[in-house]
Amino acid sequence: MSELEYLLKRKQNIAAWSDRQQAEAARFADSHRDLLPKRITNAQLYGLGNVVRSARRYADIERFIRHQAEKAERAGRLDVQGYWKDLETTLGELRGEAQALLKTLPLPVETDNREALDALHRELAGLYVQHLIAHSLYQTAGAKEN
Amino acid sequence: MSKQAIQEVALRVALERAIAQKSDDYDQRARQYAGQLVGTKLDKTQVRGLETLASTTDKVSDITDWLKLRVGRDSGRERWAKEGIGRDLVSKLEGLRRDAKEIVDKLRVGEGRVGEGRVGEGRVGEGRVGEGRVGEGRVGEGRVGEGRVGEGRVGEGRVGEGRVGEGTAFAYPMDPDLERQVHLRLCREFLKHLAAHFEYLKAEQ
Repeated sequence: MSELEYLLKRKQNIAAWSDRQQAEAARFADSHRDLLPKRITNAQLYGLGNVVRSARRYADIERFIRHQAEKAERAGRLDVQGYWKDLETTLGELRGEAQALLKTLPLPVETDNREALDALHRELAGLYVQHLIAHSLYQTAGAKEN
Repeated sequence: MSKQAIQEVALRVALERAIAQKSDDYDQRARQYAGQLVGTKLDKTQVRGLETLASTTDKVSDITDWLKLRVGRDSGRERWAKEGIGRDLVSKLEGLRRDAKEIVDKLRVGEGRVGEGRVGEGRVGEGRVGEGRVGEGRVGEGRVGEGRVGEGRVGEGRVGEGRVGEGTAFAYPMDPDLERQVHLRLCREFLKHLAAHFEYLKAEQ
């Protein structure tokens, strides 16, 4: 497989994955709807989005989410802590998805496997968070309308 | 040209035709949405922005996420959230998945028929691709490459003409991602009509 073919295939597989995961991210938002938008604010969600977009390693995203969970715990807001912990678990599990996707794509020679896996994990987390933020805001607006 | 390449051309032509038919069907509905949109405070750039996003992204979810965000941010309910227009549009676009499935399912009806013995004996080069005969075993037989496929018959609309799924058979497994890709194409078509009607109605205003 040439590098161009690899890149095209990678792009297509990620796009298909993202479209499949949209419903899953919406379910996550729905299952925590009681916390939106007062306990988990839009500003917090935008903050998450910014961190995910700018992270250079998956560990940066994880650190941000843990920090949010710790802050909530210190403030005695256990429901909010639960939200961040659930999100940490969900995004962490995307590493398995990234591994599965990588298996379908033979990496070009001289590619660092660990780095490729981390980059893909970060990318999948970014897409998941994009769906999560969009659906959370959408749902919040719906609740206000009602 | 290999048999597989011919099948791929036939599939592509049949798909394009089915998508074009659906697109024409969407025109009226898109006009109704556009009529509602001109009643909001949205301007041309925002609707064009949606159309541009649709035509450049490779994900349906990018389009619906974009709309969901706009609905969510419209706290004054004067733009995308006005009278539920954004929500209706999200549902409409998600619902186009059913049309995509229908198109792909019809193409799949014949899948696997080629290969019942006659592929490779046939007459693709004689212009019969799309006349329902691909599945009947006339693909091939040395005539491929003699120029007839390329003489314009495939492109003359015979492939799949009114017959998507009625004998259009594809010997090679279809891309499992095809339904999603067709869904994306249908969203683009719908939004193309929507943006055009919106601009027209806006100008009339």
